[in-house]
Amino acid sequence: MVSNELDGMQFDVVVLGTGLEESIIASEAAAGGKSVLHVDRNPYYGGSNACFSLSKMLEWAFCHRNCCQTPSVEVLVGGQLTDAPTFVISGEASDQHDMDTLQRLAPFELSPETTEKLQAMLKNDRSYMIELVPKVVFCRGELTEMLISCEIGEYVQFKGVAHSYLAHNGTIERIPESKEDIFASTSLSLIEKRKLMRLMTMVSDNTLYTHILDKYSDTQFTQLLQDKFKLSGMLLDAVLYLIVRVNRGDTISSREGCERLHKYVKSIGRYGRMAYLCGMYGGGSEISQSFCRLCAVSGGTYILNEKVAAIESTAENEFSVVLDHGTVRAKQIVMSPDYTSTAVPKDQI
Amino acid sequence: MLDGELKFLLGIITKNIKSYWMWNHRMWALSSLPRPEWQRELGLVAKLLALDARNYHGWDYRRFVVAQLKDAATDKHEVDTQEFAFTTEQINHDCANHSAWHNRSKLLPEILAQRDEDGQLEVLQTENDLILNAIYTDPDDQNAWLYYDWLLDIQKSDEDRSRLLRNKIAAIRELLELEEDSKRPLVELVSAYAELERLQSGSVSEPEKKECLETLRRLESIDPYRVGRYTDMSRTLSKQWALSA
Repeated sequence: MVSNELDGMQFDVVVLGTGLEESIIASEAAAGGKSVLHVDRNPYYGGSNACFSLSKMLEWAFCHRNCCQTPSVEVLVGGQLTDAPTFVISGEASDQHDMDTLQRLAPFELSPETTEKLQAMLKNDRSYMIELVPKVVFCRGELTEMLISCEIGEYVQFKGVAHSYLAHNGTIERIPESKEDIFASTSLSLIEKRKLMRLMTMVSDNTLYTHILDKYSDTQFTQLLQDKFKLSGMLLDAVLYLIVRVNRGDTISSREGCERLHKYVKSIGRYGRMAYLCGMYGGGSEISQSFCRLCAVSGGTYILNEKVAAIESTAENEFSVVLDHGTVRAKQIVMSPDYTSTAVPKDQI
Repeated sequence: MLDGELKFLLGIITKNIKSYWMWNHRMWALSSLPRPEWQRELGLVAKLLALDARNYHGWDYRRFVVAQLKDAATDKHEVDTQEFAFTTEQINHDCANHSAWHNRSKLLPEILAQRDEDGQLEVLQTENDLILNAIYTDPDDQNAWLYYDWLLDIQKSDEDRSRLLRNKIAAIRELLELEEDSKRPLVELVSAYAELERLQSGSVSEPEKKECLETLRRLESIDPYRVGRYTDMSRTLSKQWALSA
């Protein structure tokens, strides 16, 4: 692209970042007839929902090592950072990726065992699909319905999450999901099986479910599980963290817990004996890309690897956006949160 | 010519899995062959059953094929053991598969006959565990309860039967601790006591008999659709046990 090719162009909407929310907005705007320019500073789609091979994952981690939310690369690297090299995440595939990555790791003092392990793992670099934000989708949830109605479901591939495991007291136990699983399970006692079945059948029956909610509307979900369903220990953990997916340390209301459990039970059986699907190539970035594709098909323009230098508000409903390849005018701007802290001086938002 | 017939039959049976005349024709065709491949046929039936796990015709045909295999086999026990394992697989896959439970009950006597006394106790324990597993997963599903009845039938002595009934009662009581108003277990509890008393007069205590009548009264409100049945059971038992209702 010529360095000032974009100069003077005007768009209805300029979207910064290709994460899921902004990609959905971009595709809707384009479908509604607006002119859309969609850019991303990265050479890949998905922003903070992106999905990487092992070597690219390491590169990403290095680039973000000074950001407070990065998962610690020190766990893998182990040594002291002796240098502060700057890395660029390359957009192209390289046959030498394992050698390149190891070279980049050179300034860090890696122990020989770590280097050996890494070398072995990098031989299968492409087999790794590491999601920055691992996500699963309910078989009968809103996102699934949306993907079906946008016809994205026709080409994005998902796999059923066949087995779920819970880490409990130093061991890993398989937690059964459907009635058949519960019957055949060897990790639950008879009584635990009965309690779990009772919970699932009561919550999936609509009349019983509303009755429970009426009685326990002011309580927290954990309390409901303990008082009414007499769950404890591993089973309680399994329902909270695996089935209803509460984060450890969080609490949710009984209403919310029951609703999630209801959705879970209803999801089983739609595509098989599981409640969740996960994207074959990473949920977040694949889906974001699909919405970007929809946007492009409706006329949106896409530029990856395009940095935003500044955004200025020039008039009512008019902004001027300074990009690598020129300055454009926009009536509206949509941006993902990763753009707010760096691209724009705070007083101009 | 018969090979062509078999191929044709496979096609139409797959599409019409419930038509008994097609299965019969296949039986005739295979039996008419000089050297039918029963082992291969077993594999075919397994595939067809995977399509429709509770198809009565499929299971009946499977029993026919297994009988043929046993005739030709050197180790008949092995055939039975494998079939038994097949039913275990089917039940684990779907605990409400009545056909699988039924087939298992047909094979059980053969399996028991292969073992000595200790071995038999072991087998019965496994069956007991399987039943309990099913009952705890779904107390209202009839399969496990019916299997209990079949187990009772094949016992050799009334003593064994009484012992099995006492085990059954103990298991039901544990379940009722979790769920006091579970309909089927309650009815089975009363039936178990009734059967115990019938086998050996005086084996059920007075408090237990009173408990049965009380349970039937409770059932009238838990399951109002069947009030008539419970009232009738109450009346019959009271007369048999010479108690006031």
